[in-house]
Amino acid sequence: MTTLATTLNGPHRRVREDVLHPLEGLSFWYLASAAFFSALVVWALFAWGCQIFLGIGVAGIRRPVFWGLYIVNFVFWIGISHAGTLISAILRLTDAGWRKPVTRAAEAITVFALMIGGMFPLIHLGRVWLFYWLIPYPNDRLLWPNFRSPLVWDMTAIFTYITGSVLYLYLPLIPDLAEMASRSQGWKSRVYRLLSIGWTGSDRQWHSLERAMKLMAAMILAVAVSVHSVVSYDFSMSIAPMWHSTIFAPYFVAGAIFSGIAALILVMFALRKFLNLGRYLRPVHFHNLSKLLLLMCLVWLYFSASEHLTVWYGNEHIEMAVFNARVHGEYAPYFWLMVACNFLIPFILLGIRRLRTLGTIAVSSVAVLIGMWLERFLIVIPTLSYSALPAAWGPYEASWVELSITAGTFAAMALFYMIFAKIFPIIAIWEYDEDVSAS
Amino acid sequence: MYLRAEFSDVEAAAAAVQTVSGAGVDKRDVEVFSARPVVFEPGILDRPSRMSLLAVFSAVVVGSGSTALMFYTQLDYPLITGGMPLNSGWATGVITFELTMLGAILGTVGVFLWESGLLRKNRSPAPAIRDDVITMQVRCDQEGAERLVRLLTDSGAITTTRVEDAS
Repeated sequence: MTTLATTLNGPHRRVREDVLHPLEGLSFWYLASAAFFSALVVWALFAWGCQIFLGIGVAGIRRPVFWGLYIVNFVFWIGISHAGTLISAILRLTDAGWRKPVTRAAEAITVFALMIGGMFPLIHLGRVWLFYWLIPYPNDRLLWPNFRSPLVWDMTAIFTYITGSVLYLYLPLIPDLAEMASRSQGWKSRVYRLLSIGWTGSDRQWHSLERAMKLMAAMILAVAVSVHSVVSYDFSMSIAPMWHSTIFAPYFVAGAIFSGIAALILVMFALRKFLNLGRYLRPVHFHNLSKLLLLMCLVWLYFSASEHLTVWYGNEHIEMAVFNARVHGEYAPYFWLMVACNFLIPFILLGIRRLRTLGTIAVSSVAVLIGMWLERFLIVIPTLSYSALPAAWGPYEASWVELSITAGTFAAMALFYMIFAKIFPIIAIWEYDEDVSAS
Repeated sequence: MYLRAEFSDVEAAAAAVQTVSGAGVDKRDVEVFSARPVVFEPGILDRPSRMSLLAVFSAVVVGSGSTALMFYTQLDYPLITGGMPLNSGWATGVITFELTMLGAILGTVGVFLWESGLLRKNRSPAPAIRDDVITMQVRCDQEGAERLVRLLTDSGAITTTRVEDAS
């Protein structure tokens, strides 16, 4: 069996020391954070267990609001998943040199966000043990998979996206896994070697890897756009006020990229601070991503304004009920907070050059994440509360089960990321090496 | 048997590849090992690939197969529709697209594993990769080895070693 040697010189050695250092040992703060997030995840699992045991009635979803926080979270997390693979694919295809320290951190977000987001349709089902009814298969068992249902579309779209994203994360990890196999000992070395599937660093392997990554990047772009379009179809294919809109697909995709970039910036900020990766995740990366965030902020404003202006101008009473509830009714505080978070804060902090610092970029990203979660909430809930039949109007109040599961998913994201960053190098060493060699 | 030669830079390795191929060695018997991708000028050590073609083929197979399965599934159920069409083309199209892309992705990864030689059992021996050198490995017979060693040394090899084929 071949091993990759560890004979290294100057800058290459430094890269490895810096990037592999966080993989060693477990600090008190790491363990404390992991315990905290684990406790939240366990609490969320307990809440879900209560729902399974006692029935879906323990959640706040009841007539007329049959889609509550679970669907809000589903759309939110699928949107966050656009942080990674999509952004990484765009940067890879455009050959943006500054992408190299960023891509793996971004791709990992996609995988974890999809894992979390993909859970929500199952949680929402109530009777989770019947989840396989979503899977289309020949109906000799007298099940009739309804291919006209956007929920079945979701199933296939998310399955394709998560399969592609896992592979897109794994392929460029292989050379680093081979190197780690040669640097570690015992069972760790065996595991890394197994995962590196016999990588030797031959030119055939490098050629194949680069070719595959280029092709995968192009495919993932199409899949990522389609996934959030399909998620938007869950809403726009139904004839419900403020859902039945032709711009919903691009509106959702733009929103997903917007929240995805914000999530990526926050993760990079955490990696820079807690893993001491400031040498690699430099201010230029944050500034470049903040410009993308600012651009997407304006795109979001454009879509959002178009959507609301069209409804307002049409003045159809069924749609206006939802519009009024959002803009100056019971949901108005959420609506205007969303506008502040998604537009005012990032536009001012990122648009005025003097104000654009690493701190304000992080603040803008937090604001955008809050704003985008609120946007998902405002899309889902008011339409169901104020449906086409006024006699069926009714309020929605989230229960402790839904709130616990929601909190648990954020904790799960942090926990998954901490574990990933402890096992695998969060920066692609070989890709960064190319830059070091070139310079 | 195999000959291994170490080079300190890409230019020397490229020159050596051209020299040995000029001496009649098939480029398929030449491999270059490095810690990171080495970019040669086009024509020096091209590795022709059918990855794109096979990805498209895989996409077509999975896409059309899944579409056929969907139509079969919908037609197989004895649903009374009162003469209304049972299949929904547009709705089916969404799933067809997703599974076509899945086919393309899986096809690409499959071809990557095949063309890169990963997961294959009968692979040629590979040297330990060093960060500061590019290692070239040439498969040859005993008779021609001496001549190839001279050629490689003349091309700028720092060291050359002989490796017996384990098989």
